[in-house]
Amino acid sequence: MRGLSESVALATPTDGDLAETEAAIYQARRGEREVEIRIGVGPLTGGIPLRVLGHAACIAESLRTDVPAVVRHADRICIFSSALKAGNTNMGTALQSLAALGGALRLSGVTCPLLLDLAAADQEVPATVPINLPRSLVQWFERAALRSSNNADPTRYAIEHAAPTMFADLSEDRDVPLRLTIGSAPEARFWAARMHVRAAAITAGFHVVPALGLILKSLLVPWYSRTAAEPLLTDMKFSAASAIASLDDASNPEKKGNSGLKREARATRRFMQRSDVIPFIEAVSDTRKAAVYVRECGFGIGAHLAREMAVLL
Amino acid sequence: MEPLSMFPSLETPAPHADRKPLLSELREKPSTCGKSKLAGIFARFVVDADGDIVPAEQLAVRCAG
Repeated sequence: MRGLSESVALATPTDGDLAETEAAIYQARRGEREVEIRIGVGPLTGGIPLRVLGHAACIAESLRTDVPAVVRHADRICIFSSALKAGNTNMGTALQSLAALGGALRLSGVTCPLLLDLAAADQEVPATVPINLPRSLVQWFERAALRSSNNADPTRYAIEHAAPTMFADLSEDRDVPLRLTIGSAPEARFWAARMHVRAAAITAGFHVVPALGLILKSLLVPWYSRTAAEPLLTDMKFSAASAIASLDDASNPEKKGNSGLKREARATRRFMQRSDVIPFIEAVSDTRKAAVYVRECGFGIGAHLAREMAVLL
Repeated sequence: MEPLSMFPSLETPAPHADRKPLLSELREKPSTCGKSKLAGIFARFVVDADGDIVPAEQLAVRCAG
């Protein structure tokens, strides 16, 4: 028996392409198909929060416990920023957010190859694919866009989650890895949108690729959307104890905090005494340092990010 | 005061009697143990077609109904 932990919800394709994904899972277990974890990072709002450390620890825990329940192991992790897709053109901030999550995953003990990239700004899901998202889902995307730095049309942004440079559901290539999405609870809504895109794409004669999702359901607020009360990552440089206490308060409803941050806040405490945290914070504190850091860490750099880094440096 | 979560609740699904089934396997074999099963993977919670996170048995009941 391969059981997922209680804190994880399984996200699967719909009937139309479930069989292909199931076959891909068995192939991956036999070592006949690569496994790629895909993690999306939205536009950063309000600076890099301290919570990115706890978030990475939660992802690392799922990689250790839940991913082996699905496949043997992941061959690589691809972290992409959807900033351009969301109409946010601050590429320096996007680079810093990618470096922050990548570095935090390394601090959390994740050793498999990491690839960082930017999703393309263009509309990639063909306009000829007729997609009608349920009204309730559209309303949710509209509300979410109001609370984030999303300047794009909320429905189009959701549909583009299936794009080749995002979660890569659409591809004519048959020799692709099994793609495993790992994300916090809001990712479940975007998963639903992707499933509508996949169903419409199949009907329109397009090919979709095997995909499965692990949703960390107790993480209710995207880490890159810092709430007003949350400490910044840089606050840890001045006083680790004070920064951790501040995050605890920000996650405590009795102190007017947001309980949706609780698990990540708890996980962040593990980093309090670590000597390697301060150099990490310094390394992602500005764009140029972040660019140097991702190279020093040996992270893979995707084509879109490489172009932007050439400009930034 | 911050809201309970930044985005609208994901924990309380709306009852949709006419929902399309998400897991063909569950529809064919409604869960008897409160778990979803795909390629031998057991999960207590699944994501439904609206993006709600629901207990696997709840989706199985919906699909079976």
